[in-house]
Amino acid sequence: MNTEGNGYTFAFSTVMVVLVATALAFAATALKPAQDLNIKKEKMQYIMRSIGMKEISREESPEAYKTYIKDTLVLDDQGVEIGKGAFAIDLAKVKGKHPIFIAEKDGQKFYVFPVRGMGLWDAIWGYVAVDENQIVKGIVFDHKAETPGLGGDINRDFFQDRFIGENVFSANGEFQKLSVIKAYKGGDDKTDGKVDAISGATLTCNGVSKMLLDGLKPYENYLKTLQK
Amino acid sequence: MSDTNKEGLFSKSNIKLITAPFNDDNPISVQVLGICSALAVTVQMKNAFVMALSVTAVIALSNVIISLLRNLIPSRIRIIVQLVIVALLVILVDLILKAYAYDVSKQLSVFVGLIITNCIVMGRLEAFALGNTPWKSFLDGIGNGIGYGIILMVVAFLRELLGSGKIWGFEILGDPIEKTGLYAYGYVNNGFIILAPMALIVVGIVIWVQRHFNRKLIEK
Repeated sequence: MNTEGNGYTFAFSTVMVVLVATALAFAATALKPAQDLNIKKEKMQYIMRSIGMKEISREESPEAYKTYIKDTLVLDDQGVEIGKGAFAIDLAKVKGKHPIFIAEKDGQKFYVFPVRGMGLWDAIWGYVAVDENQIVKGIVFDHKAETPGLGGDINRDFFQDRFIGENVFSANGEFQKLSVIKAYKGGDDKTDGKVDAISGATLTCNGVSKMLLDGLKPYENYLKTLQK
Repeated sequence: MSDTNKEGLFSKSNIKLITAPFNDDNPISVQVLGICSALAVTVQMKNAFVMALSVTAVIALSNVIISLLRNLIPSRIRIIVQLVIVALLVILVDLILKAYAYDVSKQLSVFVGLIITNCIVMGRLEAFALGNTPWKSFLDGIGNGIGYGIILMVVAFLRELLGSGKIWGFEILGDPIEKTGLYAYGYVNNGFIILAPMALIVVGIVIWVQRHFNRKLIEK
């Protein structure tokens, strides 16, 4: 057989492309449910970690989510409630909808707000858990592609723990942004909403500040209604 | 395939196909292929190990497929055919990792896709699989994958130890935040080791050390 002719070359490539495409389409469809389940479990894991269950595994998360999440809400840009079913909302794809997860653990109530923004290289996201007094009780960040050992450290406890105890509102009741400050001099001051940055990760940290400002702003009115 | 049957599946020359890439014909330190991913995924040993496994699987399987098709592939489009086969296998690896090894797939993220451009894969297809039987090509693929993996693990070991004070994720030098272990005496991790340029330097040192012990690799 002449394998160098034009006809043969065309026939060969056509058959090859069809076979490869079929194989890929089949694999993608067959593995999709397992992949989606992983993403869903991971989201539950983030939420659980933000309310203080730091060591929870991905496999245990759906069970814990069912136990501790009592209610969910969706707000629009003005902070008006427009429905339930917050879990299905993917901040990466949907604009103008702001989910809230309300959790109750050991008699304490947590309001968990998802936030999403840009780091230095790619997307960063997080979940902020506050109590009725707008005090941050837990925060979880993760990132897609920040520099390992520098900006990548925003998903580590030592950084996330710096936010615990900070207040989303200032002493005179104004909404203040939670922000990450380079060479922060305030030490353990928990009223100003500011925490120390990671050295060598200024751009990622600026991204975190911006994400927290843009992400929490839509919840301002809702947070005020919680105030006793 | 008849010649492999005469020869025996694990004859001396076949075994040599697997073992040669470990040292004398190592894809990274001797053939100098696949450097790009050696820089990218050697920050942690765990990632390097999974990367090595994935690359080995992709080289071995693509070698076999190309070798089976070697008499059918029109030589004018052979590079495209190789690319399509490799891309198919890499996407399959990526999909499978996402479904069954999610954490690993998150850490490797773009690097899995980059296996497609890993020069070792194309290099072995072009240099070996197009002219040899499937079984020999399979052994050659496994050998080169392991040879690649050995260097990756050595580099990752040094980078993880010096850069983050860990081995396989375990903090063997103490906790840098709590200042325990070595850190209590003022030891600090070398952040520079984590960045890509240091991987290149470490690979260079590995090549140097290898040539010190294996004199026949030294070019005259």
